[in-house]
Amino acid sequence: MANEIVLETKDLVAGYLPGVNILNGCNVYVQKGELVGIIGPNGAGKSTLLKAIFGQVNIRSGQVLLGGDEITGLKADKLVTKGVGMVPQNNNVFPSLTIEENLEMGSYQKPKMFKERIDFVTSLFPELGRRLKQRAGSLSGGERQMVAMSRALMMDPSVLLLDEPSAGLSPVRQDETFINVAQINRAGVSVMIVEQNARRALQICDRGYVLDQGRDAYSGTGRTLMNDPKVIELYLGTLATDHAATTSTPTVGG
Amino acid sequence: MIESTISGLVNGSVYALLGLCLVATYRTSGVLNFAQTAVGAFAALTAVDLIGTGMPTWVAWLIAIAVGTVVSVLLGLMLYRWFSQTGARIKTSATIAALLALLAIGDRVFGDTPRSFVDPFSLFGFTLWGVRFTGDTIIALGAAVVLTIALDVMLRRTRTGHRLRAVAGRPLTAELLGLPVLALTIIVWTFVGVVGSASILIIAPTASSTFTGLSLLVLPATAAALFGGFESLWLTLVGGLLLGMISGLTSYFAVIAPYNATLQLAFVTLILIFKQRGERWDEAR
Repeated sequence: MANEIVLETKDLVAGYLPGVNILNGCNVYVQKGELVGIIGPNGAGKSTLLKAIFGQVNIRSGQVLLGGDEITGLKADKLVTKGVGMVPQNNNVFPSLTIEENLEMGSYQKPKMFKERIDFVTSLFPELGRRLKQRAGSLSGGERQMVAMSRALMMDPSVLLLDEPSAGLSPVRQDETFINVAQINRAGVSVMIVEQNARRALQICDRGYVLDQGRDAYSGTGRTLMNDPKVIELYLGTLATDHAATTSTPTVGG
Repeated sequence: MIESTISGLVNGSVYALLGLCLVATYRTSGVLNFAQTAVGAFAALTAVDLIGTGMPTWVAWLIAIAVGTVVSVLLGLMLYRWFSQTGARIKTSATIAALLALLAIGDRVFGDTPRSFVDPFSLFGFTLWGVRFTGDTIIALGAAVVLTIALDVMLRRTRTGHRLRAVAGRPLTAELLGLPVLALTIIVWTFVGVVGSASILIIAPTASSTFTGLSLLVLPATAAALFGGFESLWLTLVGGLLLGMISGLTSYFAVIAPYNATLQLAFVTLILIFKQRGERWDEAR
C-alpha cells in the first residue's frame, strides 16, 4: 500500500448552529488504498466529520485536503467531480427507480462512463447485475446499501465516505455489508467508514480513529485499537473486553 | 343528455390537465401543490385585465402565462430554499399556506367582482352524431392526452425524468450525487406554471368568474389526481374526464344540478373508500 495521502482534515472545527461546534479540531487522513474506520460514542461527531468533508456542514476553521489540494467547503457537485463519493446513512437509494436507474444517477456527471462503470460494479457485485430492472424500493436494507455504495462507485471515486452503512440492519445483513465494504476497498478504492458497530468495523479496517467530543482521541491500526484497554473500556464494551482478555494489548497513541 | 355529458369533457379535460400537473409536481418534487390553481387563477385574471386595456387576446394570454409561471417558480424556489429537507406533509402544508396567501393577494389585486373571460376557442368546432364538439373541448382533451403521453414517456424513459424522480424521492441523496437539484426544481415549477396557467385560461370562461372560484378548482384536480393515486398519469387522465362527464351529466337533471359541486366531494370520498378496501384486501392476502 502506498503512503500517498488521498484525503486529510487538518484541525477541522465545524458545527450546525452558530457558536456550537461539533468538531473541535479534528485531524484524520486516508492513504491511497486504505480502509479507515471512524468510531466513537454517540455525539462524538463521526457523521458530522463526513458531512463537513462533503460540504454539508459549516466549517469554522481548519482544512480539508484531497490529494494535497484544498477542498474545504466545496459543494457536493464539485466534490463528486473531483473524486469524492459519499453514501449517507438513511434514505440512500431512490425507491421509485430501478437498480439500473439508481446507478445511472451515480454517473450523472459523466454519462459516457456509465457502461464501463456498470460493468465494474456488477463484476464487484454480480447480484446487482442480475437484478438491474428491479425497483430499489423493493430491496432489503442490506441490498439497498449495496446499491447505494455501487452508485457512489459509478463516478470512479478516489475516496469513498460511508456513513454507518450497517445501521438498522440485521446481524447477517451487517456482516454482508462489511464484506461488501472490504470488497470495494480491495478493488482499489480508498474508504473512510463511520460506524457505530465499532468492533466489526475495526476488524476490516487498516486503520481507525476514535472520535471523542469532536476530536481524534485515539488512532491506530484496526487490530491495535480493538486491543487497546482504554478504547475497549470506553467504546467497545464488554464483548470487546472478553475478546481482549484472550489477546495481547499493544499501546495506542492519541 | 349525451350533449350535456360530452360538454363535461371540457371541464373534465381541464380537471385532468390540472390533476396531471399535481401528479407531475408530486412525482418530480415530492410536493402536493394545493396552490397550483391559485397560480393559474392569477394568470387568468391578469389576462382579463390586460385584455381590458385593449391588448390583443393572444399577447395577453402569453403575458398571463408568463406571470403564472413566475409565481409558480417563486413558490417552487421558496419550497426548495426553506423546506427541501422536510417531508411531503410539511411541504404540502406550505403549499396550503401559499394558497391562502395567494387568495388574499388575489382578492386584494383583482377584487371579488365576477369577470368576463374571453373564450377564443368557442368559435370553431364540429358536430358529430348531433353533439357539438367545441374548440375548447378539442383543445383541452387533446392537450390532456398529449400531456399524459409526454409526461409518461419523459418520466419513465428519459434521463431528465429519472433525475426528476430521484430528486423527488430523496432530495438530499440526489444532492450528494451532485445532481443539479436547483435547476431541476426550476424546470418542474416552470412546467407546472405554464401548463397550470394555460389550463385555467382554457377553463375560466366555463368554470368560474372569480379569483377564488378558479383557485378552488384545485378540488376536482385533486380528485382526478387521487383517482390515479398521485402516481398513475393515465388514471389521472381518466379520473379527470370521468369527473367532468359525471358533472356534465348531472347538470342535465334539474333536480340535482344545483348540487353539482358536491359531486367532487362524493367522488373523492368514493375513491378513498375504494382504495381503503383495496389496501385491506392486499393486507388480507
